[in-house]
Amino acid sequence: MRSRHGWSNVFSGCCVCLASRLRAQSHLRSRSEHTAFHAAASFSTALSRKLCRLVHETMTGANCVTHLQKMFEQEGISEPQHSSEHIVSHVLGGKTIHSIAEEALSRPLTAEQKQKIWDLCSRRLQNMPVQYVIEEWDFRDLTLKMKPPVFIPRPETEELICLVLSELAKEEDVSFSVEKARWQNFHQAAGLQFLEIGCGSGAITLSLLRFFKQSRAVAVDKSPEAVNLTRENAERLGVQHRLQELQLNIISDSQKLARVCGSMDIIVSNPPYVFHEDMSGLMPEILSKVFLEVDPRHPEMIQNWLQEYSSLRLTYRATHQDICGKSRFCVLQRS
Amino acid sequence: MSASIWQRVCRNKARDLSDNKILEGRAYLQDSTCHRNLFKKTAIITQVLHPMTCSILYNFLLSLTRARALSVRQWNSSNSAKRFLDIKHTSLLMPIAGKKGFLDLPVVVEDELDEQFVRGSGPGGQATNKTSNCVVLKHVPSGIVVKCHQTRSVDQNRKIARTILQEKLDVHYKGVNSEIVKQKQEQQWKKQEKKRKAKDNLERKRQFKDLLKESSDATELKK
Repeated sequence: MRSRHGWSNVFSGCCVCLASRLRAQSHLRSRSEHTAFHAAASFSTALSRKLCRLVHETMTGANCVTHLQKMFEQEGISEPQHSSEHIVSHVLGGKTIHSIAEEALSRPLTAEQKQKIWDLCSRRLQNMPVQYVIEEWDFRDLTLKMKPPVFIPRPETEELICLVLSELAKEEDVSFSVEKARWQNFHQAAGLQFLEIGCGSGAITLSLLRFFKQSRAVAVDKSPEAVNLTRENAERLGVQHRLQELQLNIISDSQKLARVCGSMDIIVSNPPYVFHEDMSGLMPEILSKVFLEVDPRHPEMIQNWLQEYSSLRLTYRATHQDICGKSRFCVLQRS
Repeated sequence: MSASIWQRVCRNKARDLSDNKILEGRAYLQDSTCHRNLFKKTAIITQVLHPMTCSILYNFLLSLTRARALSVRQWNSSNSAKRFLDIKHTSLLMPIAGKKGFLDLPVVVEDELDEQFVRGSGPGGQATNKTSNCVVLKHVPSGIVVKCHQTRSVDQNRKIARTILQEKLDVHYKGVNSEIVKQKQEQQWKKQEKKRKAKDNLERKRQFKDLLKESSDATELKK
């Protein structure tokens, strides 16, 4: 009987989704399991048939992946194979499909698992990015929670962290691999301070906080959702006591930012690529460097702009390229 | 003496001493500070020696430390311990197989690598959210290709790919002497040792049983 209850949830879920997609009447939800199944079966599209197969048949994890993949391909969803793999592996408790053991993949799925897969699948069918569908994603060695509308961190941003670390290592003249453990605790008394503009989900800030165990950070974003998500991720990773997050617009509230921040060692930013010319409002004392992730068109623009605003005493140090060979990162320094 | 015989000698000594369980309770073998100090000293000394002997030396000194630690308690006047300690003065080139945690892997030079990453580069800039993060790493001189998609992070995949490449290069260049092969041999040896020990134990028990039986027979006869 318990399985029947599970089935009824799944069937009703199936019907609700079909209803929203095919604009059927909402009273379907209240029907009994038997008639609901018939109603679902009466929709003759291949999609509906596939969906009912999903809930009705005994499915193993591996079968489910291929099944979902075909469904996504049919509906024109991008990256059908990767999407289905990520969804199924997330429900089975792993991060990637390769981390799930063979025997776990060949075990039949429980009703709750199918229900969950179904929920995620229906979100993906609305073209929601996978990261929002499973509500988490990895960034370097961290796992962060993802929630729309906060931007998803991208691989180029991981390279930005590498760049920051290597630049700092050069400055400290540290042989990276040998003394890494010492260096991570290095700024014991002083405490490395950094500021992130446009923190989003907090990927950059949290990576650096995790790496430099004595550092402190201020994360700024103009969206309250982003600030809340950063705080949530910080708590998940156990670094919340070293983080201060602010919700403000750096262009208009730069004075407020300056008051809170005081002096900073580093500013890191991966802002939305909307280039504001009036960045002179950004006043916090920059002791060391500014790291920016930009669109390939920007480095030249930034260089010109810095020459114009020479009173800021910022020199353009370098442009670095990402793994695809595009100009992606700028390093500025206070002269 | 040949390398393999020395190897067996040192191992046997270490095993026999540990068998007697002189240091009850103290996990001296897991004392990581002991290992680290050894490693540091070894590292300093072996800068001039051939890199291959570094692992060998480390493990030799390690086994020596174990023996020494044991000898402090009870074996001060023992002949076998003294003989074992004397060994270190004769030769430093003890061929003991590499232990885990100190692998003599080849250095990967970035210039020789060709990295490819499957990534959508269409319009939309920051808005495109691709989940494909497979890294294909090719080592140009040897032609070894490593494909990695073990994690969801591109950065981690790159690091893992490089580690896998290092191990593959090790096998490629050293063949039979590579670290992986050595590790496998080490595991096999351990297995054999275990079997041998179990057999010995069984034999001892049987002998003891026989002895008991004999003595009980003797007492019965006396009665």
